[in-house]
Amino acid sequence: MRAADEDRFREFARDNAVPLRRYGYLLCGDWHLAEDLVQTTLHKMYGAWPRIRGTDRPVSYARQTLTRCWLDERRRPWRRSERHTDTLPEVADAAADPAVLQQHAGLRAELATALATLAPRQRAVLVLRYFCELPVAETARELRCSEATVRSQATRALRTLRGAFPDSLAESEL
Amino acid sequence: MDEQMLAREFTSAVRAEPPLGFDPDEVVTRVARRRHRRRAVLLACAGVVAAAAVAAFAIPVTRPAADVPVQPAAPPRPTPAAGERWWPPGTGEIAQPTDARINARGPRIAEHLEGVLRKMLPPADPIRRDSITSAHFGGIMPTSQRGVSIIEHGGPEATGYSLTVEVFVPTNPVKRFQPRQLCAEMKVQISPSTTCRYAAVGTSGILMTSETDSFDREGTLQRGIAVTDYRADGSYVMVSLGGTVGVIVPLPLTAEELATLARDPGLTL
Repeated sequence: MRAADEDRFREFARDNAVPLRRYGYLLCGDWHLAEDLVQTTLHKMYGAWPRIRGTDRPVSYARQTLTRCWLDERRRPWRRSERHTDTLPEVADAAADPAVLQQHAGLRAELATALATLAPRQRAVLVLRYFCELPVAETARELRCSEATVRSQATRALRTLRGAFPDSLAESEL
Repeated sequence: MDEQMLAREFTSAVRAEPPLGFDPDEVVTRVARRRHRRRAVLLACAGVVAAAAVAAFAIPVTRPAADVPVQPAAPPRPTPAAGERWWPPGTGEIAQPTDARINARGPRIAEHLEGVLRKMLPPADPIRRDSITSAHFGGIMPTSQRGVSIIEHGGPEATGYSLTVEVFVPTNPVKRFQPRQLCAEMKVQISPSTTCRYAAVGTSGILMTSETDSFDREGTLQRGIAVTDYRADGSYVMVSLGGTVGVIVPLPLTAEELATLARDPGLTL
């Protein structure tokens, strides 16, 4: 890669590392894994940068790459065997550890649990539609599926979430 | 739950995010360095394979383009002129190690290499393994090679040097070549400033040394040295040493020391 291209890629990485990590966090529910996903995404994008820098969608490309990385991660055997069965037990000194507090400061436990029950693509649809605020057509393009699939996935995912905690979320201050 | 509630929940979830746990600049630097090294390895492989194919098809040595300034090759050294030997020796096929053998030998070769390097390099220079790859290395020509490629990084993380050691066996059908043709091809494939010298070793081997001074992509003049021990058994070991992009790094080993390393009997598949 030429030095000028590399500089532009550095700038892209600096500007988009945090937004991409947020996107990754909402997909996987874990800040540390989200950081791993962002770094993997940057690695993959480096080689493709000369090809995509001229397009107007490098951020979209990055999100697509990160989504694929996450889906790949989910397919790994060791991760398939992982199952969330309950909330994590509280530990006596958890409050003393800022890192633990930070980890718990994100998604509310019940929403995180409900999201974890969704199929990965349903979760990706929700995050792209309601966090990234992408229209249906753009979401379909990023997930390489039809617009009808996006709509049906979103409907099913929301129905699942409503079923998971119909009252607690409605009563809480969101 | 409706869409607005979910959107608010998502936004609120990322509001209390922890500080970024990595430096994006550092990630880019790391991947750039890794790709640069891989590219250097592939270029070297492509050069060797191209030269072998050139020799096999008996095409005359390529003359450089008229507008490319060509520096004279290395200082005159005794080299076999007429009747120069061909490599690999013989006309038959080369015995191929199995993939399992190559995979098993990779880590052992790397361990042996690091043991040797600790004795050769200045004690203050930390060395760490950057990568070890056991694979089938392709090129732009029909001949490819199989074996192990190990990249070691020495010196400080950001300003050190990298040493690549490759232990390869050409795949069958083998394309034979003469050293002078390979040297000429190196000037074309790597840089016109490449100097190349070679000598016969034993009854069938060739030891070839090439040195290149070229500007990297940040405009820094970089020196690179590569020594290849083309062995009588048809395998070969290429050792190449180079600096860091954008930094002038004194190379810790001379061409003679690299030749000693390339001829190490422990570097074998």
